[in-house]
Amino acid sequence: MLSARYGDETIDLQQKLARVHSLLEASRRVHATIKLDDVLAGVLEIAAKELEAEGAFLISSDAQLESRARVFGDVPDDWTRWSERTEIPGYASAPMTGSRGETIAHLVVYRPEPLTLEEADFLEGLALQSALAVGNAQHHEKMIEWERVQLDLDAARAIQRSLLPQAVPRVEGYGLSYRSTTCYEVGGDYVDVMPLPDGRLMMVLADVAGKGLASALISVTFRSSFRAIAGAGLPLDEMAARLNTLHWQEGLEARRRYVTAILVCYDPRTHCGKVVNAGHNPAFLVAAGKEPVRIGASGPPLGMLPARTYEVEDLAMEEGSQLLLYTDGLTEVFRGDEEFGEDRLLGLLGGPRREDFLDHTWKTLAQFAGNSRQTDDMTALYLRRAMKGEPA
Amino acid sequence: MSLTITSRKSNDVEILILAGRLTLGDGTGALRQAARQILDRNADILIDLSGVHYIDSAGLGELVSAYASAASRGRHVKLLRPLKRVDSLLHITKMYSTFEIFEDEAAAIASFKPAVSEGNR
Repeated sequence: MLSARYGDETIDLQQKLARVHSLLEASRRVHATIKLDDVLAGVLEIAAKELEAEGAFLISSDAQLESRARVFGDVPDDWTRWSERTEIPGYASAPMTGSRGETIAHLVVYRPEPLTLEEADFLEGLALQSALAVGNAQHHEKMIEWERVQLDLDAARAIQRSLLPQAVPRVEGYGLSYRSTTCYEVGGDYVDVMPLPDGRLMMVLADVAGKGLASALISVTFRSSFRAIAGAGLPLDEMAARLNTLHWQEGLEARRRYVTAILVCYDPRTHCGKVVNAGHNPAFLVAAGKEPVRIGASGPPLGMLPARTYEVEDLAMEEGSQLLLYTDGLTEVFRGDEEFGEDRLLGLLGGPRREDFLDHTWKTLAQFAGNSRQTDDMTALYLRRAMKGEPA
Repeated sequence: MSLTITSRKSNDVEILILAGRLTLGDGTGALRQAARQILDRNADILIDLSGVHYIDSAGLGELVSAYASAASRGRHVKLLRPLKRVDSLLHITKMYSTFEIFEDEAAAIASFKPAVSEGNR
């Protein structure tokens, strides 16, 4: 009698031990792969085989899981209609709980004969382990997807850098330079210098509203429009009006991502030129020993509203004069609540002459910002006429 | 701090009271949605900017977008009490002359009625 009872208990313990072993083995198998499809296939196969069920499947409201193959073995045709709320005989289920405690799916086996308590425990243990493995696999898929996006952005960045002027033209008696840094991989600022056949220089500095990839796409369409009409010899006001119309015609999203721009057509032989400011922050023209001149907007940003008009202003540079076109990313560098501002930027123009003016400006801005992250694209174009006898 | 929008009605004009930052993302999205709902009801909009202490270029784009979609339906979007930051962006971009801008709410509301002369400041 006694020995028989001990015998029963021994068998009972042996069975429990076997279940623990098979659960450990199952856990090892579902965690052995990082691929989501393999994890799901493994879980279903283990559930069906260990519980000697006819089939197994997953029911999930997660779109990513729902789109995968998630049935194994023989299950009734209407298995997709299974729900935890309908207790149909022949099915047994356990919830798969995600890392935030949410139910990501139900692991269901189809077996006409009901599960024993131990078998139900096994199913629950398997569902818990599976949820972890599924979570890891999903995370892995996101990482791979993110790497692809990052590669795409890197390629886009390389293209955008290559669209900047590759070499700034050498202009006799002048120093000309530009600098552009984006706050994300790509940005919405655009700067260009095109020497015209007649010896004049066409220069543009533009800022697409917003930042990042969307603004970068818009800046490239703007560049195409600009480059296509820049060589046509149009007066600048007409050019601005035409760019405005072209951008407006690009549609609603482009209109929200309008362009503020300064167009300059300059003749370095006569030291005179023309300028149009379309809704852009003022350019600075500083003649040696004189009060700086701000060249403000004569019309609204390009592409924001249909049929706008712009006015051309004359531009003349004496010896030692400096012209600075910049985007508001420079003046809106913040240190806490305090911004760098126009006055500090003008202060830099008033300092001693330096060939590396823009590099110095960027260094000054970085020092001002301290540890604050760059929050906008920053671009500037700088032209300085040399004094007599001075290297440009 | 992001943007909060409350609204109330005065006569047939819906007043959108903005507070916070009108910037790319949440702020512009919220304004776009609020303006669209009002324009779908075929009403005029007065945007109270006295609580907006910061605006970026995308924020200005959203204001103009509301203005343009109202105009295409024969409705109006006008602005009330912009603070320094918004005011200066409207000036820099030459958009000051596009919008009708008011310091006084009663004058703004009255201006939506065609019979009363407009009190543009």
